[in-house]
Amino acid sequence: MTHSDPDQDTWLRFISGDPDAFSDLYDEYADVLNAFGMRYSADRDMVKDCIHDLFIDLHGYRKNLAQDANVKFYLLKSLRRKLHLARRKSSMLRFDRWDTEDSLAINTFSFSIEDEMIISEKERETLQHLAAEINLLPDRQREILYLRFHQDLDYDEIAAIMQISVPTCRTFVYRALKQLRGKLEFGAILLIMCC
Amino acid sequence: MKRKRNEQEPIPDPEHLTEEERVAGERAKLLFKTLRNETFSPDEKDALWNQVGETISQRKQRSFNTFWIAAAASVTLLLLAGVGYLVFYKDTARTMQEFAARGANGPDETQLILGDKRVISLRKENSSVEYKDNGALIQVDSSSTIDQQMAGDQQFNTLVVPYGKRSVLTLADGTRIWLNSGSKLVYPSQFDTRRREVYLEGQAYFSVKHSEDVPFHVYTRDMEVRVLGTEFDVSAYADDDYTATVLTKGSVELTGQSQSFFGSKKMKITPGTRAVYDQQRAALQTEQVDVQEYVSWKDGYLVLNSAPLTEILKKLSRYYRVDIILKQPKLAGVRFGGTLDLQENIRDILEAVSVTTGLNYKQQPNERRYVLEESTIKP
Repeated sequence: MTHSDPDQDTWLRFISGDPDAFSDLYDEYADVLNAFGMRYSADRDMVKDCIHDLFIDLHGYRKNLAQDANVKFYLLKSLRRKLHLARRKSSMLRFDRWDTEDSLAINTFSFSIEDEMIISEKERETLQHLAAEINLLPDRQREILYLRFHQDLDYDEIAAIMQISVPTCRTFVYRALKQLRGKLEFGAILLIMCC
Repeated sequence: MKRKRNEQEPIPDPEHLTEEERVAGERAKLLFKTLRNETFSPDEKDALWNQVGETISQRKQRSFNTFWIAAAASVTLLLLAGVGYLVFYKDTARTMQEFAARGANGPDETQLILGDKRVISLRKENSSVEYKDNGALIQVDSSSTIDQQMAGDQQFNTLVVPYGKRSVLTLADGTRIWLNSGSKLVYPSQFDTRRREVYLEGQAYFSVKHSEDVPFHVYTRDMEVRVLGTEFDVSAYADDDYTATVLTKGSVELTGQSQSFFGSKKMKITPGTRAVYDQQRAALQTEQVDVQEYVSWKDGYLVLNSAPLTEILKKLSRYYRVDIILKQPKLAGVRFGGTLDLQENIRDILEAVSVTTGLNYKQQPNERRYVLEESTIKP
């Protein structure tokens, strides 16, 4: 997803108080935010509530928003924070889970290699293995991969969203890839053995 | 934060990555592109948008309301404070004014009307009323005493002095007030701790007991006199078109009554000054006068320094409760001087006036009416 001028234009119009820009901003980002939110939660209503609150905040604080913000990054970051808070709030009410970590974990992914890709059978298998391995990665590593490869955010942005340092972020990606490569090899061996 | 596009560099430290790792990265990247996202149905999206809009307008309404509630609250507070001020201060005057209007008009005898509506008649021509024991005991004509119940809420006493009578009132604070004929004084049965207030119709001479912290206010229809402790005369007869204050000693502060709007400008006057509020001109003016001329009545005589004849006759008719008719209106403005002893009866007085003015007086049969006219027979 490229960062086109129209996006920034909507953002600037929004900050300057153009009421149409607010609705444009919603049209543009509501789906993105919903998709993003649903990565962290299965609770549709909670995600919707967070998006709702996010837009209320945007509207309320529009005069104080930075003009040169990367809109998508800013929105995702804000939504993630809201989701985190909502999660913490709801877990506080659930006494049976008082000891669980209150951090926000990304759900496992269901990649849909089948329909979308015209690739070789072998490659498909490899990807299926990789997909399985990705889902076995620690939550935070999976999250980084998602933000990096799906949301196209850079390391600075990922670090900011996850509230970690940029080097830590890089290390996480490196580790994830290293692990995936190792598993792939293992998977390949398994494949060979099965064959 | 500016976003860097690094499509060609998906892996953090390319130099440390093996070829396999790089390939794994590319594959992962490929996989993540296949992720199916949860999507809103158009209805859901619209519903959420409407919800956002609703919340915003509610908040606006709320903040609008908050603003107006706050604004209204402050205005109300100010109004209440203002009204409270009026109720507390001005309306004591107004309440007393209403009492004065209610009080018996033209009784034959001096009357003391208490807060509980008891009416005490004072038969003497020059009666005296003295409040003792912080107002709980009232001594009338130095003979009889009356108990006054002190009610929790403010109650007013009214002293009505008809034409032809006088009264000396001593209030609980030691202030003495000489009430001239045809006057009414309304005062609280017990003074407030912050201010002493009375309402006067007619004429009275005040000798106010000094109290630095509790100013004494004399309200009249057109003028308010504020003092800390001094002696002065206030003349505010309903049938005069002026209200006047003459200061004997100390200093007083004059304020026009709010009803007449001659400005709430305060004016301080010094001894020997007469301040007159002229109703027609709605103006307050001062002049230097011989104080005796205005205050001698309380001691039973009338000092006249070149007073217009009508003024003299008006004073006499009030004092003696008689009608004196001047047959020749052209004489009204003619001025005379002298001293009249008010202990004498009206005939002696009129006799004296006749001699000085060269006029004759006649008494109408069976009436308290005298006619003053030019003598037909020149002496």
